This record gives sequence, C-alpha cells and structure tokens, in this order.
Amino acid sequence: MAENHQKEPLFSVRNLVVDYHSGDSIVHAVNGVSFDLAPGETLGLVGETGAGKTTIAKASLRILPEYSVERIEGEVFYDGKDVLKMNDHELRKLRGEHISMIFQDPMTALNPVKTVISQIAEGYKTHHNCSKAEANQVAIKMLEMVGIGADRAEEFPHQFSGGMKQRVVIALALACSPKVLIADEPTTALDVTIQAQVLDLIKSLRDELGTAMVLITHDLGIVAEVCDKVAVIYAGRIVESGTKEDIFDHPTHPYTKGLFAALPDLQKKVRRLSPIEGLPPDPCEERRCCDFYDRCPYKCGHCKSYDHTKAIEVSPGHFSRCWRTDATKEGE
Amino acid sequence: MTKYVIKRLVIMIPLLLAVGIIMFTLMNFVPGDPAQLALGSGTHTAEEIELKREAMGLNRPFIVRLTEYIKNIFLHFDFGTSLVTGTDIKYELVKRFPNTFYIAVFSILLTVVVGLPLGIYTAVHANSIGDKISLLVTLLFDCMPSFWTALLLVLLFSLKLGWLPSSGSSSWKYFILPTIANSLGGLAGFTRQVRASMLEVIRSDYITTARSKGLAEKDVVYGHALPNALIPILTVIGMRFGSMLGGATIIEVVFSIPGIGQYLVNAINNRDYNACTGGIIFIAFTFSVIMLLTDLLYAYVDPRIKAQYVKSSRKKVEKNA
Repeated sequence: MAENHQKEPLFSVRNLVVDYHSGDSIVHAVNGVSFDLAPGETLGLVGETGAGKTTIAKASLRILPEYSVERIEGEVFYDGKDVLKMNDHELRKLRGEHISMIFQDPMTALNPVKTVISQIAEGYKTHHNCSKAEANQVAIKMLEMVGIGADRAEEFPHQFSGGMKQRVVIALALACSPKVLIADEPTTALDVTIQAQVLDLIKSLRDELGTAMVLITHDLGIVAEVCDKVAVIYAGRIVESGTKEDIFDHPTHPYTKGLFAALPDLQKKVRRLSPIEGLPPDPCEERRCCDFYDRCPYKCGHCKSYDHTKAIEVSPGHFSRCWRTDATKEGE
Repeated sequence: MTKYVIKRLVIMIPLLLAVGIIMFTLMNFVPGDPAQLALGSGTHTAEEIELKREAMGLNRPFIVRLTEYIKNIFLHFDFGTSLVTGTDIKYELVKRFPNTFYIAVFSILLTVVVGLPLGIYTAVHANSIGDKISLLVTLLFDCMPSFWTALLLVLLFSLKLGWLPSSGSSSWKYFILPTIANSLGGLAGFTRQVRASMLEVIRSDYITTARSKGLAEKDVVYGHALPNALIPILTVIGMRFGSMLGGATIIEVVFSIPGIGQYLVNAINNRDYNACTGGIIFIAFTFSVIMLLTDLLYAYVDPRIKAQYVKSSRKKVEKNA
C-alpha cells in the first residue's frame, strides 16, 4: 500500500507477521502489517489494547522477548536494509543510533541500580567511541533539553517522579539523535497534566531534530495533535490508513467509525458513551473473514466471502479493509 | 550508615545473651552426666562420681551456674575451661578457627567462581541443552552426601593418584579436597538461585531498554542484569558463608581437620556444657557479623536500600534533636 509517495520512505514495514506461543496455543499478534515512514514524518498507530501495536514496535527493533516468540516474518526496511535479516553487529549499530524507542512504562524502563546519567551516556558512548566524560556531557545536555537540571544527573531512577522518569526515558531515546523514533504510548502511564507537557516535549524535540516518528497510542486526541499519517490497527492488522485528515474527516472502516463514535461530544449532552459492542476476536484463532465481522453493525452475507487481507483505496493514499466503503458512508 | 552499623552491633548483644542462656539451659537438660563421662569408661562407685560432680561445680543450683557462666563471658570475656579436658575454651576456639575459616572461604570462593558464571549462562540460555546438562550434573552432586563425595575424592586423589593428602591441616594442599567436597553439594542450589534471579531480571523492561540502546549482549547481561540480580545471590552467599564458619562438621571429621565443627561434636558427646555453649555463642557471633556485612553489601549493590539505611538513621537524628 501507499506506493505513490512523494518522499522516499526511510523506514518501512512490509507484511510483518508476529506469532507468540503461549502454553499450547499460538497467539497471532501481528498479521501482515505494512506501512511507510518518510524522513521527518509522523505516523500514528492507533488501536485498542492488545491490537499488536507494541509488538509491531518491538519487532521493528528486534527486541521482542525471544522465549515467547514463535515466528517473525516479513520485512522491516531501514535505509534499504532489512532489520529482520541483520546480524548482531549491524543490529547493535542500528539500535539507539538510527532507530530508538521510548517505552510505555517509565517506572520499569530504567535500571534501578544505575544513575540516570550513566544510563543515558552509555548509549552515546557505545555508538560514538568517545571518552566517558564526553558522553556524560552529552547526557547532561540531553537531560537539560528535557528539563532536568544537571544537579540531578547523578541521582537514581527511584529519586524521580513518574513524569520525570518519562523525560529521562525520552532523553535516553534521543541521546544519539536517531533518524526514527518509535514512541510506544509515551504518555499512557502519566497523569493528564504531565501528558500534555511530555507530548509538547516530544513534539518540539521531533521538530528540532527532524526525527521521523512512529507514535503508538490509543488516544485519538494525541494523534490529532501530533501525527501526519494515521494507521488504525485492529486484531493485528491495519484496517484503515491514510493522512490524518482522511481518517478524522472521512473514516471509512466501521471500526474507525466506531472509535470516533465512542468519543463523547463536548457540544451535546451525552448521558452514556457509545462503545463498540463486543470484544476483539481471540488472537489464538485463525480467521477466515473480516476480523471485525462479529462486532460490525454493517455486516452482511458478502463479508463472509470477502478476502479480508485485501485493502481498498478509498481515495489516493487512503486505504480501508472494508469492501462496503459506500455503505458505511451512507451512515454519516 | 555508621549509625545503622552501630545499631546492628548493639542489637547483637541481647541476641548473643539469649543464645547463651538457651544453650546453657538446653545442655543442662540433655541426658548424660558429664562427671561420669569425664571419669571415662569402666565402673565407678556412686561416691567417686559424686566427688567428681562436686569438683566440676555441677552440684550448685542451675541458676547460680548460669549467671556465673554468662557473667564470665559477657563481662570478662572468659569462656571458662572445658569440663572434660580442662583447657581454656577461648584458646581452643581461636586456635581452631583458622582451619574452619580457610575451608569456609575456599568453599565459598569455589562455589561463586563456578556457580555464578554457570548460573548466568543457564539463565541466558534457559532451557537449552547446556542448561539441562548443568542442572543434571549439579543435581547429581547435590544428591551425593558430602561425606561420601569426600571419601570418593580421597579414594581417587589420595589413594589412587597420590596427588593430595587425605587428612590433616598442615599446609594449603590439605585444604583442597575438603574444599571441593564441601562446596560440590551446595553448587546446585547456588547455581539455581543465580539462574532464577537472573531469569527474573533478564525479562524486565529495563533490560529491553538496555538492548534498545544498542549495547553488546555482554554489557546487557553483566552491566545491567547482574547487579539487579545480585541481592538474592548475596543473601545465599552470606547465609552459606555464615553457616560454614560454624564448622563444616562432617568434612572436618572425615579429613581430620581440627576445626570448630569437630570441636563442637566432641563437646556434645562429652556433655561438655561449657565448651558447647561457648562454641555456639562464638558461631552465633560470627554468623551475625557475616549477616551484617551482607546487609551492608546490599547497600553497595542497590541504591534504594542504601537510601533506606540513610533514611532510618536520619529519622533517629531528627527524633533526638
């Protein structure tokens, strides 16, 4: 999908499939996800919990837990090279320096027995072959950039609040000025006021450093504020993708529509939220038809026989995995 | 921190006092008459035994003997003399301690040098063939009683090959076999402990963070995972070392090494109340010191624990002010 890009993609994922094994069953976490990211661009990956967003992110850096992964297939291209085929040496060079990641939970993402400065400097030193003092200087600069004073650099993670820890995690991810930043729900673990601060920080750092970014979130408000492109993920598949305007103004897939319908309208008096009925399908089962079939209000006989792996281009660059692009529009 | 250490040392006094009282009382209830044992085998008239009891001071009331004994130890640092041999107990303990100490230190070193890398390897390569072989071999050693391992070692290295002496303690060569025999049994437990605590740490989020920075695997394992896994490992090392300082009784007996363990066994067999209680107090003391050192080591490994120590002593200061 999305072959007709103006800019050459810097980072692209092609037909990524990730299966976990859990007990006797195989969990199909990601089922053929593809997307492109041009330099400086921001893509939002949206979806409910368990949709496979974090798995996509971790697979891109190959930091999935080896003991539970059954298989990873597909291609993850960075600068023309397939990350999934890299050897250990290439992979180490890639991680941190070219692609880096902001983790979801700042409480557990930092090593409790090392000072924050050493944790930030360590990555820089690995990639730049410089002295410890030099790396420490960079680390202090990074800390100051995220608003933490140099006087606190020698402290340990347990001496920081949650919001500050997330800032440290951001400083850590950006220490080597990576070309691609994967932010995995960077604000989920934080309270709302801190969320806004952290989001502004990520936005301004992205603009300053010209980093391309994959922002994983389940918060549509954040997407509206930060992203250029959006991909909606459901049950390990991108069900709809396009520019932010495409998705927000002309949602086509019933799931995307359901997501927007679930948002409370501030203008109207709403007594109850309108959620999407039902639960996501069991990821252990192979599905023959549309993943959303059981919950879809527009379902009909044709859905059963329709090839759910095929995406339809609704308008240039706007793809949906539902064949009833017109039918759903009538509902607007 | 200093405050914390002083506090712990002060707490040790009532602890040792309690150990002393309990031991002395218990020994008093153990069946068997030290006077009769001291006179040796053979028949003795009731009169002879009574005379011996009087001479040993056993006829005085229990409370009198207990207070005198405890007073001597804690106020004059005098452990008294053995009821049986008449030798100074403190002198005996001090003379024997180095032997026990060497065995304990060498055994712990051997356990750590072999068990730590093995545990880390088996955690990093969990469920691999190497992991399973290591489990099998260490468990095999674990199942073998140490006196039997000791005898097998003696058979091979002393009798068959003639490389190492089989008994005594006159040079470092004499400690090689006892050390191996003493540590082989515990290796399985230690390796498993290292493996378990490394496994727990290696799956945590900050290890993923460390990998995502592009660090080499050995830096991730030794620089990030190991320091976090060390707390339970240190506990096991401390406990094991502490109890080894109390004498590796079986090993000392098999290899005829005059150590604390052997001394205690003889004391118990002879109902030597003084030697027994003195020995136990000595062991309790060394054990408490080792546990204190272990706790202090925690603080070096984990800054969160250090913060606790500092906090608790700062609270004290505030209260006093």
